[in-house]
Amino acid sequence: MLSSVIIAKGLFLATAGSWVTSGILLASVYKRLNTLNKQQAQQISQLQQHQKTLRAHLEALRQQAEPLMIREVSAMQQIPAEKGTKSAFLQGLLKSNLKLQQDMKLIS
Amino acid sequence: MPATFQVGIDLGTSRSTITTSTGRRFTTATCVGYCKDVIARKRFGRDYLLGEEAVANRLALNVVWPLAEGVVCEDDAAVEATRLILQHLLAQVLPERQPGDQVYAAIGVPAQASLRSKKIIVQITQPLVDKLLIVSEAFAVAYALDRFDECLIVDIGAGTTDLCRMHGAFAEEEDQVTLTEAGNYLDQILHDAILQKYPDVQLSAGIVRTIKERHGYISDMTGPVIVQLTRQGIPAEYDLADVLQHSCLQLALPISRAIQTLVGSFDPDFQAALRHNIIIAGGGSRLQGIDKAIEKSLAAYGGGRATCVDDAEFCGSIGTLKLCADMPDEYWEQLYIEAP
Repeated sequence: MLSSVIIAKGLFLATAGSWVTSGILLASVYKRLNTLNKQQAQQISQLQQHQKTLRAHLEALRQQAEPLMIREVSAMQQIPAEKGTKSAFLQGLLKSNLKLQQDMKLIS
Repeated sequence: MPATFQVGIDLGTSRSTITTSTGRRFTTATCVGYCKDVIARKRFGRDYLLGEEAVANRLALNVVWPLAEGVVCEDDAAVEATRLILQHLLAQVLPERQPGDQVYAAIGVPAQASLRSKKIIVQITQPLVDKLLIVSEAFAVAYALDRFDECLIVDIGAGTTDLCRMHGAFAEEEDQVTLTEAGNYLDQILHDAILQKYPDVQLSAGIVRTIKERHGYISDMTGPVIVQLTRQGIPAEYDLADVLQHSCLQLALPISRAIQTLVGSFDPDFQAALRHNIIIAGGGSRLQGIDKAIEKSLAAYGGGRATCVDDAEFCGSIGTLKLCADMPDEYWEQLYIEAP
């Protein structure tokens, strides 16, 4: 009788012990998983930030390069805007404004 | 001794900008908000608010946007509002102006603005400045960039899109096109398209404009464009990627067609040069991919190159200021538009 009580107590203690061990292990696994998730989120955020910086850099490079390209095309195809050219445009503008003045007199 | 100031003004449907020979520049929303009642008048201590202040307090105001399709509306309220805005612009940038000082101004107007609209602008501006020059907006952009030969200026504003073909001589009427497909047109299309996809969301003109300015694109981007909107007051996130792209394309198409017409009717020896020197200015130049969309539309014509200006907001007023500054005194003397 006594021996069966001792065996039962022994079994109970062993089972409880294994539950506690499993619990501790499980908690440790969850903790590790949580840490990994956090690390992963941090890395994704860093990568996104990096991607954003690269995109901005790429856009800046594109904007810098395009006027240069335009200037190259212009250099080949266009006569630089000299003082004489500007004067001709200003004269044209004066004429159009003088005409506008005349036309405005005609309408009420 | 009285001083002479030169100012360049870009009076736009949505925003107006001014740049001066003293190095100052200023931009504001082109609107005036009149107090709705005595409570509002007491709260603000004035009869009206201008620009951003009017937009921010619009619930207590009757807001007037005096320019439609790039020109001043012909009613008295619009004329008065335009006068107040011009007065505000000048006061902001020329605080040192003394009685007797001279102000020479150049104002940009849509390329094909009617004679009557130009006359209204002149009448409004007359009491505020001493000499006045009326300039086509697209031409002002070309002048700002020093681009006079074989290039095509596309100035996408809120009320109009102005195109001007530059070929080393003063641009004539046949070199210029004004389209009403511009920023406000896109706002309307975007508004309708969002409501078609999400019928219950709550939209205002300001919300639509903000979405367009933050997310508007035409390029072949993939991925969602998530925007927070409300439905019966409950905020939720909505994907507007396809709506935005499709709507922005609706603006790019008529512009591309107008470019093709101007290129196609140009001297064939110089068409390639014109196609390769397309300059996009105005608020619409901020739409992501507009340059690429225009280039793509020119593929059938032998390809082309389009570039967006760096300073979309001030490019027009910088050009008008440069014109003002370069105009010789003897030319100014011939212009009788003087303060009474």
